[in-house]
Amino acid sequence: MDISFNRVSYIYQQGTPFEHRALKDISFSLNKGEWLAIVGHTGSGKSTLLQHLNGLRQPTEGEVKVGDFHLSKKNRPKDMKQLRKHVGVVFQYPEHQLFEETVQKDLLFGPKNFGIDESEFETRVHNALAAVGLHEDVLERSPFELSGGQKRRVAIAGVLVTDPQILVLDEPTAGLDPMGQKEIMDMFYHLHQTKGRTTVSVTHDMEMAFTYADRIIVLENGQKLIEGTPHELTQQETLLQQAKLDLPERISFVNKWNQRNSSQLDETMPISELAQKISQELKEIKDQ
Amino acid sequence: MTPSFLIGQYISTGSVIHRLDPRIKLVMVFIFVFIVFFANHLYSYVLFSTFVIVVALATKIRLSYILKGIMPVGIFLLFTFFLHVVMTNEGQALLTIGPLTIYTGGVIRGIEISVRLFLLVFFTSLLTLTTPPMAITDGLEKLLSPLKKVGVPVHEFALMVSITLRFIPTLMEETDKISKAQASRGVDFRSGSLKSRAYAVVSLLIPLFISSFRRADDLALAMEARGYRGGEGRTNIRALILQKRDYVAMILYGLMILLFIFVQS
Ligand SMILES: Nc1ncnc2c1ncn2[C@@H]1O[C@H](COP(=O)(O)OP(=O)(O)OP(=O)(O)O)[C@@H](O)[C@H]1O
Ligand SMILES: [Mg+2]
Repeated sequence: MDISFNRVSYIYQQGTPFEHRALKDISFSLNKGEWLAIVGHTGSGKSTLLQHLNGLRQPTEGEVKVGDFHLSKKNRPKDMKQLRKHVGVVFQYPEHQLFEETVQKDLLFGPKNFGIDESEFETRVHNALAAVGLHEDVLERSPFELSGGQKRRVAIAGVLVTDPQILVLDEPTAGLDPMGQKEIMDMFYHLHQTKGRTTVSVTHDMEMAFTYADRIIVLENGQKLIEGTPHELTQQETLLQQAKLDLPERISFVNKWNQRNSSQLDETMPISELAQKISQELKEIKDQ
Repeated sequence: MTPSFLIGQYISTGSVIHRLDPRIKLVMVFIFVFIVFFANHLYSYVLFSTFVIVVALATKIRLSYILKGIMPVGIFLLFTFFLHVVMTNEGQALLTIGPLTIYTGGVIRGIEISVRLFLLVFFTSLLTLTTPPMAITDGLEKLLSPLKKVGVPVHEFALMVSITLRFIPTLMEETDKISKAQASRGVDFRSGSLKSRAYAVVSLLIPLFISSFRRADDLALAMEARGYRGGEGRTNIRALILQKRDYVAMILYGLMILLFIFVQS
């Protein structure tokens, strides 16, 4: 399913003194199978934007299209459930949504709501658990007696179990240790690569956006400041600073290196190759 | 979730009314509630209305917004009005509809009661619009502190109220978040059979309970870690000290009441 935003604005609490324009005239489109990262400082409107993707919010102005579903101020799709079945959302701290007695029951919550055939339950649960790297032993345990990391995985499995076409991730790794963060993001990346899942992810972490995304949108104060591939963004350091964002360490290093030594290193090459090139250039400088 | 019901909602504009001591405002509202029911002269109503409108203007909050906020009470006012119109049998008969006869006395009493209630609600909503809930609690605690001598747990009560007030927005935010998460997993809170809706509510309530317990635990720990030992000998970070403006407000208020007594007699 393709996604497109056409001049979308969103206003919180319209018509009160608390009125707040959280999105301003946002347009972009995303093809099936792409990974889009949305980055921005806190309060820039990232979560608000995401919530339009499965109809949790309707635009105040403009139109959102997700596949055949059209959302605008007036237009709310009748089969909202179908939309939500196709768009899986992993929220920040998803473990807060766990509520059932056993992990198995919690995983089946989504499939039951969406009316998925019961004969599929077993394979779906099996696949979802395998995807997040949990053993089937947890199925009969209470989700509340698991560790923090396990809870997070169960909650993510609870979204994957409906096998959504589009995955929407709102900082799914917040509060995890670096190792756990990488494992979870790698897992989403694997789904994206092998099953061609369209993915929209929100993050503060530029490193993460640069590692996984095909395209990046930078939000500032509800406005789209930059849109481009990671490579294109490397040339936009000043604009990024305006949005209170830094380029990943490695890229800003390469940028500075290129500037100072007027060389042409490419930041997309593997880190070992980069190291070799740099030591080579260092030697040349010494020889001169 | 737009708050159509404004009562209890604080709007900061930094006006003089906002900066008045909460104790003064509480006492004023309390007295007002009391004296409004003694008003029975046209000029008294004019006096009170003028007073309330002047105060409302001084808050710098848009008048239309204040009125919109107390609109829900309007239904209650209408109901009281009709009740009085129908139930009172004084004065001349105005018209008869079936078994009901409407008298002039009824209409007058209806209008009187409605105006009193309206003034009351309006003035009280000015208190909550211009005073943060925490300040109201602090003010109440100070005003009621003499009761401590006879063993009333005023401090504990005030603490309970402020914790509750503090966590209402947090809980609402939490509810919003969890209901969004469950809606994304296909829950429909609006339609479906009674059983499926009950289940939908359970999927919302259990996470809410769990997070409330967690928060309560965290709060208790944080308070203990910072040496909280109950109200004994505890001082207040926002010490309430009467300023010049508070005395001026008291004098003006006193003059208003004198004028009222003069008009009535
Ligand atoms: N329910 C609400 N009512 C009013 N304003 C809101 C509401 N929710 C969010 N906002 C405001 O909208 C703006 C965007 O919020 P949003 O949650 O989309 O930010 P974000 O980019 O996701 O931030 P973060 O990185 O902190 O999660 C913020 O300024 C916020 O204060
Ligand atoms: Mg957010």
